Amino acid sequence: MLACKVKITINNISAQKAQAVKSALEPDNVNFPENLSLQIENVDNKLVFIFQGQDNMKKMIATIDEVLEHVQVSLKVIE
Amino acid sequence: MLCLGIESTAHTFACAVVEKNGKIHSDVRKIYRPPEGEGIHPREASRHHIESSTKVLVDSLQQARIKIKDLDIIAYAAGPGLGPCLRVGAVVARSLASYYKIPLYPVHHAIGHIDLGKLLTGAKDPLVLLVSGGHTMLLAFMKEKWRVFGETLDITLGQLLDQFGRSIGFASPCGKNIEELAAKTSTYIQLPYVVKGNDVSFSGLLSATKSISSQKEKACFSLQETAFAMISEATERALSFTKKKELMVVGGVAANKRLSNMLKSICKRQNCKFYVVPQQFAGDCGAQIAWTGLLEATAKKGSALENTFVRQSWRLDSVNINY
Amino acid sequence: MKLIKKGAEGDLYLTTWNKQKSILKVRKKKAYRNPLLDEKIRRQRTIKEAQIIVEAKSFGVDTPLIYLVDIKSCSIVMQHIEGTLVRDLSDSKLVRCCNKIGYIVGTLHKNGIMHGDLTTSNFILSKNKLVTIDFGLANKTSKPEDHAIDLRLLKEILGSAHVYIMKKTWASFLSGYKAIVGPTRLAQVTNLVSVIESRGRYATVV
Repeated sequence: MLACKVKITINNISAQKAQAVKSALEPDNVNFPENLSLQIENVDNKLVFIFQGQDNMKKMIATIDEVLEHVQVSLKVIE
Repeated sequence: MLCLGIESTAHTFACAVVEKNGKIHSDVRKIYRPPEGEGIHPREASRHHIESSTKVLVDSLQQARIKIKDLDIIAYAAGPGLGPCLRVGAVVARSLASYYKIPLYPVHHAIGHIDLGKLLTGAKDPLVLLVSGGHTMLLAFMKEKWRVFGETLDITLGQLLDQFGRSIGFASPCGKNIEELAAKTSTYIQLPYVVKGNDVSFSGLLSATKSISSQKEKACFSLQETAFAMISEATERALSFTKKKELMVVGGVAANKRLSNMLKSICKRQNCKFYVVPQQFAGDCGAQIAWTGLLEATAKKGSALENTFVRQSWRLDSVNINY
Repeated sequence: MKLIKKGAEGDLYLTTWNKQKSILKVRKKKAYRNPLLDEKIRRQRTIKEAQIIVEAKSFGVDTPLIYLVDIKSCSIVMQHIEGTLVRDLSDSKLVRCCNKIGYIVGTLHKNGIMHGDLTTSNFILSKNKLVTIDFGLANKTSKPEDHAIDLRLLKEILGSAHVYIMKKTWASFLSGYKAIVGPTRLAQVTNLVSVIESRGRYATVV
């Protein structure tokens, strides 16, 4: 059982923007495959993503990839 | 009241701004085309949508000469479709809704086709033939839902045309290419014709057509003649059974002239009016999402952000229509 | 001769045959169809319909008497059945008829025949008997998948045109069907109905 935790922090982001990104991504966190989870926290001027997974590294990387793309799009459209 | 509609269920990423009175102020689309001969890969398509989304959004606002703040509501295609693609539209929609505090409406993609069709054609209570890559169904509205009177037992008409088109080297979506090739001949080769009551089955037809694909033009011609005749027959049965006085055709394949002509012919025989969505709006677009969003807004408030779901499989006949 | 209906399949005329009131069913050419395809469909269906109507009688299923078949014009002259289409009956009568329809379909299936177009407008209630008509899409088959297609179409019709009473009508139908084919076969076929229902969904575009 290989357990892995990945933490990605986005610094210097306004609370309003952080909240928007969080609301945009959270609803899709329900259908994750087994053994994979994502928590999003909005603290101070930071947005923190915590990925936790077991065994399936490929899936985890793919998920992180997609989530980061979504973050990018979200920030871009808010302009 | 202005609505921004966002569509991203499969190969098309689109944004449109529509007003409550039905005026379409802008309609911008970017279509992902997989390499020739290949089908759509969901993740690749979603990457395309991610790259195009900002420009499509900005263009749609500029065309409509408005700013995000001028929007009253936002609607997005919540399904059915390909997961990764759907999520892009949803993320864009939610981001805007949350940051600018605009009410958000999840919309069913196919119901968007139907509602937009009614708006643009003026049909009042039609039997609907929905033919696209994602659906092939005959529907009539009854007791708050669109009820199915006939559908495909396996693949859709759009998938049939697309899969055959790809097998002879075209890039998806192939409908137009097939229509063009088919117009070059009138030699018919017998192919399996399968109608079971109000339903049709295309998989046998697909394999059989692939086996004669060396004669490209005749294969395309025969494929269209057979598949469209099957759809026409199922439609005629449904018309005869439901006794509807209007037929409305929507969905990407509605753009095909040969299909339209066949259906016009049955309508004449069954004494009913024929409506087809204008070619420009037959394929996937933001306007269909925006319009249904506006209709939904007449009956209910926007969804709470946590509840704005995305659903790959979503039966059209399970959606309650309150407007 | 009077035209009484322009059905989806063909035109129906009221006529007489040997002084009996009868129906002339003609599968006319459909201009929108390619002529080769059109000819093949009309001939095949005319022949099949006549053959199967006669065969169904031999298992005790009430069907119209066939007087004449003309393949060249793709027409059949058959007995006229006086009565009401099940589709047009009152709700309570419809529910009861569905039980009888279950018996009828069960009998056809047991004898290796699928009807192919099971809708409530293909059963006529005539003097308390149910007469089955329109065997144009019928086929000789004992495959459970084909029987499931039959049931699924009927279920679709009950769930759309008769949606207000769907639960009752479907249950009534299934009990009549089960009485003939037995619980094992019923389960097998209804499972396949669910399989068909889950197809034709938005499948991932490959």
